Amino acid sequence: MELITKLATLADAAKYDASCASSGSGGRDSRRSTGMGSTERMGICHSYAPDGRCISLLKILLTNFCIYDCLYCINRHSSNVQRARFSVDEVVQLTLNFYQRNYIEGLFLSSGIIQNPNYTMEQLILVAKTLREQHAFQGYIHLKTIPDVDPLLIQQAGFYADRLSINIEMPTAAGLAQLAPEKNLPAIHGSMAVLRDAIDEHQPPKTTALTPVKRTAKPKQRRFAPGGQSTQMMIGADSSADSLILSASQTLYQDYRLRRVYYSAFSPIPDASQQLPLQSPPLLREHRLYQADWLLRFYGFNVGEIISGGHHGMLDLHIDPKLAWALQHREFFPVDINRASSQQLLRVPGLGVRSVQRILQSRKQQRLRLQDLKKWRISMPKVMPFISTFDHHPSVALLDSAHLRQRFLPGPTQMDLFAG
Amino acid sequence: MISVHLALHADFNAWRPLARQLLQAHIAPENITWCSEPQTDIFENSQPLPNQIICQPKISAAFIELATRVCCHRDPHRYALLYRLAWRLQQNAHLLDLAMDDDVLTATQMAKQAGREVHKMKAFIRFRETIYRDEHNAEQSIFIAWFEPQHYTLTLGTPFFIKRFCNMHWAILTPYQSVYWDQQQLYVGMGAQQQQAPSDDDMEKFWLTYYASTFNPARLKVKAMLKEMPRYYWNNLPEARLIPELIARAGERQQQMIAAEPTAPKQNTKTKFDREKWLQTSLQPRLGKCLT
Repeated sequence: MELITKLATLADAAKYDASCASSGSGGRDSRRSTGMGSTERMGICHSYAPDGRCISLLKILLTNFCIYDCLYCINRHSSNVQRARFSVDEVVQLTLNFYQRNYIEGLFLSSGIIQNPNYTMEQLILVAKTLREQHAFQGYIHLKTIPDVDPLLIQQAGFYADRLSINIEMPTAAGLAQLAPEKNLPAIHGSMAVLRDAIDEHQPPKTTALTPVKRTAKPKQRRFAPGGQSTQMMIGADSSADSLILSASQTLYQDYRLRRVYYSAFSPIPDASQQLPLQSPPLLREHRLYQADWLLRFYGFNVGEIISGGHHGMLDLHIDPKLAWALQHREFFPVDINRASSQQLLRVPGLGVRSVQRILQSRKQQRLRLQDLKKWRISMPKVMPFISTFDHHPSVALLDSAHLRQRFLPGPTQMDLFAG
Repeated sequence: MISVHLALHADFNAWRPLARQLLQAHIAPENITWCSEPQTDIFENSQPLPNQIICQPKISAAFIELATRVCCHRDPHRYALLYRLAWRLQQNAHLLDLAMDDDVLTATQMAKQAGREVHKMKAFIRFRETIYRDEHNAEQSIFIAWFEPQHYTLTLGTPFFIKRFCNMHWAILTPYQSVYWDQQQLYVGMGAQQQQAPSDDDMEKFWLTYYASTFNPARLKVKAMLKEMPRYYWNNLPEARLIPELIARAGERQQQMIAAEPTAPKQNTKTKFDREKWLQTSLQPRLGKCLT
């Protein structure tokens, strides 16, 4: 099979992984190396596909042959898709050639399971090892980690990769057992814990005033998975409610200290299994889950609070989850822009982390008026019912009004967009 | 009125000594005209700047960071705006914290736009490889990119490429300025034309194949793509020529997947993986044979 055909097949097979992030791993570059590459703390998106997704990494599978039969997966054993397998050197050369031309930040390598989990993981590690050791490649490497593999292999992978990920796929053990018979939730959690402990163990020691670290001429030791670990959950392939999904995420963030949980709306695949809902992917639901995830990580909300804005464990699809929460908790408002704490300000619909920082910084020097907020392009119709400034007090009647939610609903033409 | 003449797209390092001299002489912003338009008689028209020292101006590190980026903006009023800010900073050292102040707001927005342009340059530069013969008649490869930034941000973005491609020969050509890195040193030269950069590269067909294959037609979100990759940049992105057809065929491809009749598996599904059995046989910890 020609290389270009393999590339088409194995990129197509890899695209259902939502993550293409190249962030969280700054500080490496080619100046003290013989190779090429560098990493930026924030990551770079080199292109965007018409699906709106960032293309940052060469995201491919080493092979799409697979002995597992996960129903939702285009590469499952029983699917009739075309199969292909890259050699280690083909992946290495493609990565270097793409990188040199500034198409990508690095490689995101995953694979179908061939022979057994350990053998497959060894093949993935071999690609990363070749890039790092033979070519002194300093760019970003994300390796997929396979549950059940020997902890020694996870240890090794972390020394070559910037980020490792194990997909949790479903929020519940029952959902996973139903759709992915060879996978198993405790095994996935187990591998995540191995990874978490290895990351902790290799954290660079924190310097304090009392224990200065001696600077030596030794080259810096390669860090262990500096970009941490991430995972992905599928949305809409089983019947789990948003409350279950977000609770699973909260566990992953708290207990396994994941850097990111990605949500992937289940989308139709070629040669799909009959047992799955074949319909347009629930993109709006996925979007609301990402917003809720942001509230969990950066806005001090817990799952219970977020879910209280919706119905029957599902988020409100028509308005964002922070606004939905605010409408259910009107006793919290209005919030005084000139006096409220950072935590209180973060709860105001329409105020993001950046706006809150600006408010805190500016109000030290002078009291803020509504006009000042307008200058920062904060949406006035959205914040006005919920805040007070020294020249603005929202009408109590409006804040208590049953019609307040109505004001935030999108117009009738936009509603049609959500129908699909 | 004092006229100060700067070179076309002069950067912060060129603006700074002039501004310092004017601040030392206590010249108010309204008495200065900043010019950076191309003209032949620069030196005939300009009178020498006053060089008495009335005060010792102070500027903060935050101002330097802001001004470095604002100087790269294409707005012709940027130098005057920066001088006004520097002048006002002498009265209020915390001026930059006043995020609602009009001058601070304008400068912050300009810095943000220039910063965004640098970011887009890091993302959207596409190098093409060319072979040339060096002084020893040996074949060398050089990677050349043509880029049209919306602001004068080339040198602001260049350190990134030096760090990333320190061990390669490369050049970035823009309409107003060019840079060339020879693995040792950076050369900054004049503007160039698109025809001076190579028009193709053997790897591009692989890149285009990858771009088309990684796109999921069931998730069409054109607006989200355009927000991050506006048409302005498409001219220099080889993959952008695929976009119209990928969009046009997306609906049809999704419908085909939804409407397709399920097929019976051709492979023998009886040889499925037995996880429990494998776990029992692989209890011994091991390092892969190929890795030791």
